Formats: sequence, structure tokens, C-alpha cells
Amino acid sequence: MEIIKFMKLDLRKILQQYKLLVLLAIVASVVTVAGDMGNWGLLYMGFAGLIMATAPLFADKATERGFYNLLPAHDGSRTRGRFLAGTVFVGITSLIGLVIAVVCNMIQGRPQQNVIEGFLYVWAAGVIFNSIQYVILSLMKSKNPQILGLVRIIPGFIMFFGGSYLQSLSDEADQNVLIALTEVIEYVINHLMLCAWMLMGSALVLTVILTEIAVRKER
Amino acid sequence: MDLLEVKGLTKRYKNFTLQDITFSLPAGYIMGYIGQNGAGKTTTLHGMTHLIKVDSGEVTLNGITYREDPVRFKEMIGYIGDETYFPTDLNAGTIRKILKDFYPSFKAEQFDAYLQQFRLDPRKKIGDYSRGMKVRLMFAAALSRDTKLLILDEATNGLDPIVKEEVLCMLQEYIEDGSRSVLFSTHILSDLEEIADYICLIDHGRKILMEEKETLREKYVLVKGGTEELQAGIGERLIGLKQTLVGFEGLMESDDTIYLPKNCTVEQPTLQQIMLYCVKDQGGTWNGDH
Repeated sequence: MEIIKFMKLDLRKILQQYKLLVLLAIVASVVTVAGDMGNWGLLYMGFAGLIMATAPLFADKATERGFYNLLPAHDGSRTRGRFLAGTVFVGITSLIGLVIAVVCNMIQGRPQQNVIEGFLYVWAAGVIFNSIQYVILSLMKSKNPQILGLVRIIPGFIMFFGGSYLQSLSDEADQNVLIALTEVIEYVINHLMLCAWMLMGSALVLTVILTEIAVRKER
Repeated sequence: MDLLEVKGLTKRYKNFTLQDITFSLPAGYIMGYIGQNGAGKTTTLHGMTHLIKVDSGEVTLNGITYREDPVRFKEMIGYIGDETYFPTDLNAGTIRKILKDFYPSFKAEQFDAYLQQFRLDPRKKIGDYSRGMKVRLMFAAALSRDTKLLILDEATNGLDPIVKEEVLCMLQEYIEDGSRSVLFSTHILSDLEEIADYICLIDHGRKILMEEKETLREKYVLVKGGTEELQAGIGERLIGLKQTLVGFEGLMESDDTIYLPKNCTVEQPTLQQIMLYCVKDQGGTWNGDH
């Protein structure tokens, strides 16, 4: 229960940026409508979620740590709640991306191709990147704002542009790359939903491991 | 068993060490935890409340240590700091929800009553509150739930006299039932002259003395005299001797006044003077009230 309470605390902090979230959703919708794939919106919202989810880490001020650290809870609950908040928030933004993808596909008469799988992939990738980001930021001794800023935005860019690239691999023009990754890619394409769930499961396991690393570092 | 027992609290930093701080506070009393800037007061309080990890030592509050039950330990503490420790981008209404979530004994109606009494707008961001409003909000949060120990860390700094008087009254009301205590950390000793029952002085990370306030006042006298009165025997008995071209001033234990020459004057020292000369005697200088 303590972990859930801290999760709510951090989600409240992240959702203070609700105006930014609305703006990003609008941009994602425009990008999806203008583009040729419904999943652009998913990728875009996944990217946005990854960046916004780090808000509690950057909003933590030394003078405010007393409030959080004096809340009655066991050691580690706050860190675990923070990781959970990141996981949930990335899920929320991915869900928003899914809705955008579905609606835009409907508007443009496009088939709802692989949108559920795309949602799971984006959420899972977001969870993995978010957890790695959180543990790096908690282990980092440097508080240089430029370095912290880079740690904050690089995963989002990797996810967005990497995801775009992986999407484009299905084009016939990239056969050379496909040949190199044929077996893996073929399996994934033929078992999209299964692989999505496997990735999601791996992401959650990784999150738990990284959470405990951060908790031990805190002690 | 006292309500608060601090044993051997030690914390080492690169350029400062809080060394073996030990004291206790019975229920129903106010302790002034005093020292000049940089003495280690806040480090002690942060170590006690586990805002920082200490290298050694143990703190027992109402018979419970942090290790035994961190949740119950923290529930018993009400903390009022120098700067607001609430997130400045939240408002009192959100703080109310968070406190209700985390503290089973939190009484929302009482909190609302305090907000009204203190004229605090629950929709206004805490960052837009004045210093006095922030301190009142911290009190509202602490007094709206069941606590055993109120810790004030330089809480009265920069407050106007009216708010300060309000705060001191609240502290006295808090301990009235005899089951709760206040640990008041400050370098402004005038605030403690009225309300403190115990005084614990630290300097450079070490405890210098710990006494009941009235015992301290009875134990020491302030001695003044001319240079001719400063004989070898007197000098040794003075605590924190201050010499000028024409005379001297220093603290002395009351029992030693029988050794004073007739021309020396003896006065009742203030708390500040006692602290100043005790610190001076340790080789330091006191930079107390500004």
C-alpha cells in the first residue's frame, strides 16, 4: 500500500504537466493524420511519455526531500513507488497513442493493423527505457544539469527514431538489412502479439530488478 | 524511560563531524537545542529523523527505534523546518489529500480549521506563501494529527513578532497534556528564554552542556571587574574570560563566588551570555542573535 501511495504522489507530480500532455497528443494526432502509418501517434506518445515520466526526479528539490522522506513508510517504498509511477505513466501515454492511432486510422479509412501489438511494444520499450533512466539518475553522482538533461532525453530519441527505423525495415527497399536479421525479424513479424507480450513481461522483470538496485543504492 | 533518547549519534563529513551526541527529553517538556550556525544542529535533527544516514548511534522515540518500526517512528514526529519542506508547486488542498493518505491519525476537519484560523488559502500555491504563512501551514499539518514529538528546526527565523508569539503559544499548548514534547533547534536564544525547560548546547559537532534551564541560571553568574581584581585564582575559575583594557567579564559557577574580591560585580546572566562564554571557553566564538 505504501508503494501505491508513493506512486500516486509521483503521478500527481507528473500529471501537473497535463497541459503539455494535451499539446503533445494534439501534435501526435496531426503527425499521424499527415503520415502514412497509424503507429506514428503511438511512437510519438511513447517518446513523450518517456520524457515526461522523469519529471519527479528533476522536480525533487533538496528543501522538499524532507516532506517525502518523513512520510511514514518503510525504506525503499518511495523508490519502488517512483518506478511504478513511471511504468504506469508510460502506459497511460501509450494508451493515448493507441487511441490516436485507432481514431486516425478510422478517419483515414486505414486498416487497424497491428495497433494492439504496437501499443504493447511501445509500452514495453517505454518501461525498459524509463527504468534504465531512473536507475542511472539515482546512481549518478553528477548533478550537472546538461548531463542530467541528456540522460533525460536520449532514451526517448532512441525509442522514437529506433522504432521508426524498425517500422521501415518492413519496406522492400531494406531487404539487405532484413536478410541479416531475417530469422529474428520473421519470427517477430509472424508472432507479433506473442513477442509483444514477451517483451512486456521482460520489461516488467527488468523494472523490478532495476528498482531493487536503486533501493539498495538508496540504503 | 524518557520520551526521546538520543545515544551516541555520530555523522562524519569531509570537513565536519557530529560526534557522539547523547541526550534525552522527558515527555511534557520543551528542549532548546542550541548552537551557532554550523554547530551541527540540523545534522543532529536530520540524523534523528533519518533524513540522513548516520554512521552510528540510536534514537528511541516513545520506546520505539526507527529500525524496529520506521512507520510508527515517523508517524510520531511533527517536523517544522526553517524553509518549507512542502513542494512549492502544490497547494494546501493537495497537501491535505497527501497527509490524509499517509497518516491514519490525520484529521482533515482540524486541518481545515487551522487553515481558516491562520487565513491560509488552500488553492494558493505554497511557493506564493509568505514565510509566516509557510510556517503556519507546517504547524497546521503537524498539529492535525497525533504526534509525540514536535521538532522545530530554526522555525522562528525571520518571523515577525506576532507570528513568533503565536508559534510560542502553540508550543506551550502542545505540551500541556504532559505526553508530548518539543525539540526546538535555534541559534536565536531569546525565543527560548520564555518557553524552554531544558537547554542542550552543541558546538563544532560536540555536546557542550545539557541542563535544565533554571538549573543553568542558578549554576552560573556573570562576573565583572577591573583588571586589578583579575588575580590568578579568579582567572582560573572564570569560564570564557573576556578581557578589555580596563577590566574583564566572565562566567563563573555560583559556588565559586566566595573567592571573588569585593569590588567585582555579580549579575544574573542571560541564556545567551551563558552560551557565549561556554562556547568561548571551548576555544570558539559565538555568533548568535543577529
